[in-house]
This record gives sequence, C-alpha cells and structure tokens, in this order.
Amino acid sequence: MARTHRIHDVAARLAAALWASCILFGLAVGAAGSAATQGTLVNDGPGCPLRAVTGLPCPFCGMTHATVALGGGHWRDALGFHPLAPLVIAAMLALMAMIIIGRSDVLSRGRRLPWILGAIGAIWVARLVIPLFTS
Amino acid sequence: MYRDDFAAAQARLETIQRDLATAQSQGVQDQQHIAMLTHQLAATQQALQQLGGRMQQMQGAYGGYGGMYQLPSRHSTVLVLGILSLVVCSALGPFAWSMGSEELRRIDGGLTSPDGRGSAQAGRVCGIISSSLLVLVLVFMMFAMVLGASSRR
Repeated sequence: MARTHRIHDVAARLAAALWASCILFGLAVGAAGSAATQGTLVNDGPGCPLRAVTGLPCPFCGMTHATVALGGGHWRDALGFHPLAPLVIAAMLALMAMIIIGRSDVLSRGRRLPWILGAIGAIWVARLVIPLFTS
Repeated sequence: MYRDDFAAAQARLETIQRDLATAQSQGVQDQQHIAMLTHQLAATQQALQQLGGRMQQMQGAYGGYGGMYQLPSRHSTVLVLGILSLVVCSALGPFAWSMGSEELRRIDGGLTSPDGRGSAQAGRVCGIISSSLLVLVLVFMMFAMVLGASSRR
C-alpha cells in the first residue's frame, strides 16, 4: 500500500514538472522560436475541451497564445489574448513548484480554494459578458 | 458527534465555574442566582461525561480518535479539483492527483476520516486522466513539430 502511494506521489510530481516544462517551453518558443514553430504551437496546440463541446470559452482560453506572446515580449498582445496572462502563468508555475516540492496541500489550507474558485468564476463571467457589450 | 460539541461543553463548564466563583467570592447575596449556577454546573458536567463516554465508544469502533481525527478531511477538495481538471483547466490535474494520493495515505494511516475515500479516489482518477491527456497532447504536438520541420527541408 505504501509503495502504491509512493508511486502515485512521484507520478504526480512528474506530471507537475511536465506542466511547468510546457509553460517554460511556450515562453521559450515565444522568445526564440521561429514563426513556423510558434504557429504550430498555437494552432496545433492543446485545444480547450469545454470550447470543443459547448462552444463557450473556458476561463483560461487564450493562454497558449498569451504565453507565446509573453515569451516574445509582446505584452499588449498577450493581455489581449488573456487579460490576466502574466498572473496566471506566474501562479501556475508557483503551484507546480509547490507540487514538485511536496507541498500540494497549499490549496486546501483555510478558505483558499473557495476564493481561488470564486476568482476563476469571476474571470470566466467577465470574459463571457464583456464581449456582449463591446462587439 | 463532533469535536466542537465537546469543546463547546467544556467552554460552557468553564464559564459557569468562573461565574459561580465570582458570585461566591464577591459576597453576592442572591442565593437564587448561586443555586441556578450550581444547577447549571451539575447539568453541564453530566453532559460532558456523556459526550466523553460516546467518544470512547466511537474510539473503540474506529480505532482512531473516534470522530476526532488528527487532520481534517480534504476529500471534497480533491474531488472538486479533479472534476475541474477535466472540464475547465487540465493544469489542476497534478494537484488533484497529488492531493488525492496524500489524502488516501492519511485515510490508510487513520489520520483522517475514512468516509471520504470514494471521493478522494474519484478526484485522484480525474487528475490522472487529465494528466495523461496532457502527455498525449504533448506527444501529438512533438509529432506535428517534427513533421512541420521535415516538410520545410
């Protein structure tokens, strides 16, 4: 039983490391990648399952484009793709680092998770509602 | 029964004892008030004994702390993260996986309530699925990049 837990623990840390690598890779491609590589990343990159099923964007839709733009130093473009892109990228990297060092309970302390989920919900509603008035 | 019930009864007992000591030491002449406090003290002590007895029974049944586990259960957090990792943001997958494993380890160790085992397992499985999907997407993307690079030559 203890061995199973250990295997799962290591695998989860590897998954977190993979995620952090993906984010850093996206920034690196934006900074130094060719236009073709950037195009492959943003066009053939991971699609949003929620958008594919419902047609509605999720709270983090646009983050791949924003990451590549941020890597290239195009802040205005990045904020256009996602208004909170720098914050989301920094938070994701910090959270993945927490998992890797074995502090995954950081989200469950106190009332952090309800606040984070509330913030994600607010971002989502804002992104769904604001285009209705600006378009 | 919850740990809060026992703590609340203990706090109430201490408050009544303090009030009674104050009433007796300051020479309060209201004997009716002192009698009422004495009666409340006896009733609270009895309630506390009953709560303590029930806790011992539960301790025997579960072998742990009888509803007073050392750590709070996080199974609902794990489940929420797992579902969100599949529906909204797959970056939450490693979190659900890691926290689910930790929660199951705590349950097996008797540190937290075993009631949430199913939720913790479900959340962990959701985290595993979303993390596995990430690996598949990465493999697909690397394939696409290699194909794109070879076709440009």
